[in-house]
Amino acid sequence: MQGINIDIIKYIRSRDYDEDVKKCLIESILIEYDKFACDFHHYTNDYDKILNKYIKVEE
Amino acid sequence: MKIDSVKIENFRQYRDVKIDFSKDSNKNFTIIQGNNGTGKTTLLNALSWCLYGEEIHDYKDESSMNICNNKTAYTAKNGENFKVMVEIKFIDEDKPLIFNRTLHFHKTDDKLIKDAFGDEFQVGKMVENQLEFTENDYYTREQKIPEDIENYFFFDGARLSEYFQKDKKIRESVYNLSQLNLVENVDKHLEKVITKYSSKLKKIEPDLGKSVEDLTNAEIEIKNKEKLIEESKEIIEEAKWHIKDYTERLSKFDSIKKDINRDKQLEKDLNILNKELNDLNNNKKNLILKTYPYLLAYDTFTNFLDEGRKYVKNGYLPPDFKREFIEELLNNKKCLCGLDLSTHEENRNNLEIILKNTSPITDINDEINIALSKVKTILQEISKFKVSITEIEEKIKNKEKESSKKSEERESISNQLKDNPEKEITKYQYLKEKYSDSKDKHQRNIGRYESEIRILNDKIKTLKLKSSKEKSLKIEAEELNQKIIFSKKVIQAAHEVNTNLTKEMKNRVEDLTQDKFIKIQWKKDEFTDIRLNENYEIYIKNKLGDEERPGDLSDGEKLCLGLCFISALHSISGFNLPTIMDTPLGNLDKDMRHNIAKFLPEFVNGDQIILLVTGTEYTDDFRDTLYDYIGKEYVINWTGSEEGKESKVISNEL
Repeated sequence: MQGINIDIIKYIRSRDYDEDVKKCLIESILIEYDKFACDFHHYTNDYDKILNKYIKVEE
Repeated sequence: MKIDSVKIENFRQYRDVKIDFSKDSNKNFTIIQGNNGTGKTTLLNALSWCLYGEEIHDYKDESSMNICNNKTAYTAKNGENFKVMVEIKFIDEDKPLIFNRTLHFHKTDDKLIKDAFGDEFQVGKMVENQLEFTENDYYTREQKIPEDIENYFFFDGARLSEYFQKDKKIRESVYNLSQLNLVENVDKHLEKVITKYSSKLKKIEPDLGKSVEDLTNAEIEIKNKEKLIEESKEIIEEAKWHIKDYTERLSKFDSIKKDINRDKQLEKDLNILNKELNDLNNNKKNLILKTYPYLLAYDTFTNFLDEGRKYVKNGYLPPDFKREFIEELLNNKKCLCGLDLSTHEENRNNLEIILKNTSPITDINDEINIALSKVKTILQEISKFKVSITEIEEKIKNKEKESSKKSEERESISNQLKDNPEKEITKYQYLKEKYSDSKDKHQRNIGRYESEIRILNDKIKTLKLKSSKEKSLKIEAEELNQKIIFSKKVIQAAHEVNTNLTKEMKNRVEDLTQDKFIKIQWKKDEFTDIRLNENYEIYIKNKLGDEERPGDLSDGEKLCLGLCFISALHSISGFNLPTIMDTPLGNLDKDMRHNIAKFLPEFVNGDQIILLVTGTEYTDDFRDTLYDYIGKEYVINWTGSEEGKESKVISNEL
């Protein structure tokens, strides 16, 4: 299938970053891949959704 | 993704053509042979037009300028509708993916009218085993074949050497091909997200903690007010006790208080009576003073009036004639009737007799009458005086009597109050009033404090709401801070990935280009090394160790290098698309062409290749060398007549 360049994903996975950072970066790349001609607000909402997965603040 | 077929209707010289492409990985080449001007570039442009609405490849034959096939346009009858249509069918993961662009025309008065709404772009995809078409689905198109990279898959071979021009933004294209632009976009967009978070944070931070402070202050204020209410209540209780005490004390003086009040009333009454008596005596005195002179002359007035009345009675008053009137007639010697008295002696004598008999009293007749009238009035006043003075004296007598009675009563009360308890009563009353005032004042204070407490409680309610909102804002701020920190880490990682992969991609393109070029170029030892700088500009090292730019190479070498470079780019690309090359062998000599035919299948490694070649390019040697990999072969037949041009694509049996 025509899709994301798996080499980039493999490269990120092979790096010594924090696991959450890696996951978030890969998800962000997928968002970028998935989006076409989106405005900034669209991006912000998508990024917000991704970041919310990794940020938890205790009440 | 492989291209399955292309259907073309009325697009320039193609009236009705369908080309099926080879999808077999072992026979991955489709050859379309046609001489110059038959429509090879038009075929390439048909694909570009279908996908992007533009014909981006240059025409060598500029005569065929109308997008609508001129034969169709010519033969169409007035009032007839027809369309220009290109449909590309891809196979993506064993499912069809169809791109279709159609432009409608109408012929009227021998003129072609294009549909005012322009062309229609549709994408057909399999949805639950059904092919569904969606209008303007640019999203799918950009996912599958982004416009930016189209040039690296569908290209004109004669222009391959342009990839080495300095102004060509190859680096950007490599970025897009390799999808490193996605990593760069993550970096760029996350920076924007951070900016948005930061500005949100700036808006939140100033309000944090303020309502908590206000809440504490309001609660302290309520406690202070409650304390003041308690104090006031104590003061009120004490005041009540004192009020009761002084009320009891004062009740003992109730009877005395009545006497005191009576004494005060009597004192007031006596003062009024004295004043009234004083006024009456003054009236009496004034009346006597005014009337006294008349009283003294009373007899004279009475006599004068009597005498006057006698004169009237006796007929002296009023007199018959006025003396001065008769005297005037005599002096003027003219009678009242106009008779001249100087000539009428008798009449004159009569007048003189009248004058003689007239009383001297006539001269003061008016004064007497006035005096009589005045005297009459005076005498009437005197008789009124008698009545008035009697009335006043009667009043004085009554008032004196009343005054005397009240004085006696007062004297009697004064005897009873000689112990003087009034001072004590006044003192108690003063103290009772003082405590009563204090009680009222503190009751008012309590009311005020209670109302203030109510206001403060309302304020607290609002502040509590605000505070809970602030609490969530605090959490939000904390979350934003953490997101910013985390995003920065992701950006750093993205940046590093981008830098490293850019370098790695460049090295891979460099190595692959070099490998391929060394393999296919015929002067085996001529070039030893190929280097790319960071902008992907190619430098070739020759056997003497000198670096050359592609511009220094022969046309054949340049074309060959271009093919190797494009092929290397495909290797690092994230896209698996067919390659369509228009006239790629034009400038190559026999050896080079042979080498390309020999090594090309290896370069492309089973990827789908469509070659649009001229008869000159497509030599028997080239065909024979490539033969095992050719899945389909076509020839473009062009015909031209008065009615217009038409190209047909005829399949060749292999």
